[in-house]
Amino acid sequence: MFTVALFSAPAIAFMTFDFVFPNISSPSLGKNLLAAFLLAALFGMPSGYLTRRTDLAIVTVILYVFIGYILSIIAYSTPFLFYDFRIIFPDLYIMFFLNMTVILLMLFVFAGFIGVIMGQLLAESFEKEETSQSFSRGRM
Amino acid sequence: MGVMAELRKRWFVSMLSIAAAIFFTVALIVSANTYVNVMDANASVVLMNAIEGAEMLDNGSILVTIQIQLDNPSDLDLSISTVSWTVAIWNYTDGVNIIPVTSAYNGTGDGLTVKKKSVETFTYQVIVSDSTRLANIDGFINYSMTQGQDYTLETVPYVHDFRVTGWIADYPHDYQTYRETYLNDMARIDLSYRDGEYL
Repeated sequence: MFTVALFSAPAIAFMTFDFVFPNISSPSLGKNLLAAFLLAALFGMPSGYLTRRTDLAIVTVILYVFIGYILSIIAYSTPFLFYDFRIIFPDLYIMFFLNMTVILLMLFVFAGFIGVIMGQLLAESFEKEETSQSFSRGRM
Repeated sequence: MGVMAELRKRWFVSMLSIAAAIFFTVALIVSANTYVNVMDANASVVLMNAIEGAEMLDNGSILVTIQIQLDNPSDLDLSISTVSWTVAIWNYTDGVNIIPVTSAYNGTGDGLTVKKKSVETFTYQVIVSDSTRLANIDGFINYSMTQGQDYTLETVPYVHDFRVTGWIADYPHDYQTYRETYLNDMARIDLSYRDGEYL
């Protein structure tokens, strides 16, 4: 579950950071919520595709969104965590980030769930095809 | 079946996911690094070494000059947007009475860029020969004399106000909505030198 979550977490982290600083991040989605939603759904698919149990897949979505969000906060705080820049109002600084991204956070979870469903449908479809192919090979 | 076995079995999707994860990790690191560079430019770009001058010419006019340096030690170029310079005499005897001496302005069309890790020197020189302005300055000198101050055209306390604005690396800065104007401010430099102080 954690391994699968690590596949999708960087995308969530980058999209969140990009949503706050679309002018300096590259490549940028430019605050396009539809593009963020579609990408988030796409990155929900590995969880559904690689995890057979739906409840675990849903927990994986919540896990990778959480990890991605924490990574984006670290990226957002890079000048202050790893360099000698000083934050004047730390509380406001973090509140600003939360305020800017809270809707996006919900969107990621929602899109992730949809991605899980699509991923599981895809996995089932592949399995059906593999089964039918192995049966047809058996007849030959 | 364990996760690793599942990943091996579905290797194509796993490889795609890993490639995407690497791509977005690199993009995040690059973007965070850009953010650090922008913050660094915001903090480190300064005006310095201002030299003001006023020289009386033979024909009675005054040559007013300023030379000031813009130091850009950051890793990003600066696109200069506007440079303005005004010189005035501030008379505080009855409220604030500003006597304009001269001014100059350069706008975005000039395409001036200050390269990274470089120092750009701005020099403005103006000959003030307008009789009305010279008369106003003479009036200030005469008035000051009654107050015990002995000024000449060269020693009058001219207040130089120099301001330079620009954009860091020309990152997008045309955001209009209230929630997005912080992006303009982040990529913007706005430095002033006024009356001997760097602001």
